[in-house]
Amino acid sequence: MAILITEKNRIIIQGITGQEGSRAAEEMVTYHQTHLVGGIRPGKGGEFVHGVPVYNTIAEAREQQAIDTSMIYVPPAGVLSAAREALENDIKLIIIITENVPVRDVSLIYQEARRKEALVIGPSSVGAVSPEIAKLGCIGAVKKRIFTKGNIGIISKSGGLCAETALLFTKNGLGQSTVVGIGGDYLSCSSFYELVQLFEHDEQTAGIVMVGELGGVYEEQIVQLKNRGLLTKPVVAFIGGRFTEQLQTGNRFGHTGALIEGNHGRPSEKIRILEENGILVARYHDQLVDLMKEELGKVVVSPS
Amino acid sequence: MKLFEFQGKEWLHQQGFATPRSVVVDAQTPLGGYAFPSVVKAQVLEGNRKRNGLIQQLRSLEELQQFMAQHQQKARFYLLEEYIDHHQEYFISLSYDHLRRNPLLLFSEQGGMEIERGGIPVSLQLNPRETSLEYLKQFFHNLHQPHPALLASFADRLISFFLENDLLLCEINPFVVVNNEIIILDTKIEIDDNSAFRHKEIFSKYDTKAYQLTDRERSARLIDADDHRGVAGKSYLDLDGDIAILASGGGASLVALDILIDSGGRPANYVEYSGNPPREKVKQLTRITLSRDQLAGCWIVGGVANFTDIHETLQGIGEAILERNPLPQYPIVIRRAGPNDDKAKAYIEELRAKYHLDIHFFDEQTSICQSAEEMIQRSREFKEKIPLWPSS
Repeated sequence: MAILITEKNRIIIQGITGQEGSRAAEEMVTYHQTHLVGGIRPGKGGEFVHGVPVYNTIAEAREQQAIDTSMIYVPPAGVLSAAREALENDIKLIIIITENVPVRDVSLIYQEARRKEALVIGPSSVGAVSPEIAKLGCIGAVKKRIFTKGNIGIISKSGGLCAETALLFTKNGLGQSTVVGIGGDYLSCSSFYELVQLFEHDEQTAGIVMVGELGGVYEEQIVQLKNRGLLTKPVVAFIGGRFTEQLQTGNRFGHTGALIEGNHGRPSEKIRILEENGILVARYHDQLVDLMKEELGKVVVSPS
Repeated sequence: MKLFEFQGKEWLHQQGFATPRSVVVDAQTPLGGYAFPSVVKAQVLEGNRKRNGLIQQLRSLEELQQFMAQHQQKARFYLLEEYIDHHQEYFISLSYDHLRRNPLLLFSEQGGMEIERGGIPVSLQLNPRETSLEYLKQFFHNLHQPHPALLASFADRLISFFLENDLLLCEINPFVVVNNEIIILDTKIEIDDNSAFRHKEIFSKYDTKAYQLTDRERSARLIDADDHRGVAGKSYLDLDGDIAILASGGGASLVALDILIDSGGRPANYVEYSGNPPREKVKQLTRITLSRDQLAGCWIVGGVANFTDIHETLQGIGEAILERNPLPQYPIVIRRAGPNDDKAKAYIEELRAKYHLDIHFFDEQTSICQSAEEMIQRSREFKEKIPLWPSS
């Protein structure tokens, strides 16, 4: 069945007339059964972007369409109000693609989304794709054979590693159910914790891959699920940035959340906690597929 | 952006918080006219300063001069403060809780070095809609504090300061209570870089990063200063190896460096660029990265790009390579895939043929990890060919 994104989602893009938003629209309308039903841009209501109608507000769009998913492509200063507009309009899945959103704003978005029982992914998300069904964002843009349909679920902080990891599995005959980028920001609205639970309940997914890195506590959080019996499917992980532990702490490596603060966020710590709780951790990225094959071999896999 | 202690204290003082009387000195300051005993604190961003001898009580000008001479490689600024006599040191900090995504207040009545030794403070999740002054008074009262109202009003003002200024961290360790007044003895403040657009004056006033960078790191940061298309240079860090790195993508850069180092390679630097930066930016970044001495290789590595034009980017890199005089003799290994990568591959072949560069292009059929092996192998062969290469 895949998680988050299928042919059933009715999607809008907030910020559709910008460069990033319109590129996403162009790709989504041609990707299998993706239903991009509208875009939002105050002042540009009535126009069309790649055949998709633009509305001034979400409320206006809802007069004509049922909408359940929104992608936010507005500049950092506008993300908080864009997310609030989506939440006020009862949209239950919001993907924030924008990077460099102020942390305080992310904190507010998270709290307000919880009150509305909506799922927000991001900021700095690359999007999500359920191969050969539908996708959210520019993920998998290239004309190469990267994402293929199968039974491996992938969650990654890094957008680039979504494709790199999917490619690794595709090359080895293991397609993907859904691949989702959660972003590597200091605070993320969704992390591995929320998404592994969705994969756990997804019939199409047989194994879950977590691609994490230094910083924060999101990777190790999933052991709580394992210990309560809420995570029973095979999980393999890769934690990038071990080399940074030899350097002075406090430096950021790429993502705004990729830093070691005092003793928190060390890859070696994350790896230790995961391994102590029965989650295999790849020593280098390519090893992920070998570990997954090992784990899947131990399970009786029912046909998807 | 992390502030030095003296900057944090100046800012807090302007906001109405009490701090010791002090003066900031550096190597150029004509020293004199200070009251002793006093305390000198080397202004560095690392923690545990007291334990590492970077904070000291002084009795004379000579002791101050000795202290500054001793630490001149580490610190540019020194904070000289009056000594505040006190019995108890408290700890308070405001930050964000990663899991609950709420502001988080931490407090301990055993502050100072106790906290650094691993003492565990009491925490309070801050729900801004519910955390009133009354709520805070109750919190401190429940902890059997002798001055609950004083602490509550202090915490309340600090919370406002933290939220209004988009801070990621505001740590006060320690503060003391003298004559029913709270005095801040040390502070660690970090401002969210993502909020710079709404705090322009503060960011230009307190630009700490400029003080501690190597020349290359400083030049690299300037690349993004006036041009916000994509990011190239913000993350540049000098390391002490011999393989230059130009990595694309935050996650891919980490995968790459981990496997390189695990396999015995030594990076000369770390940098990642992403978001489809213009060719000029990538060219400038390459110039800076390749200006290192004693390079034994250059690894241009990234994942499968969604919309970065690989041909454009590699032309920028190629132009910078061709500016080197003499041309690089060391192996250059490229692993990239994405829009126009077939044109990029042809361009690289051209460079190899025309300029006799030891340059190789690998697309997504070779993984990042496999290209690391290529880089290390070729670099090793290069080093073996040169008899006078200094051994590591």
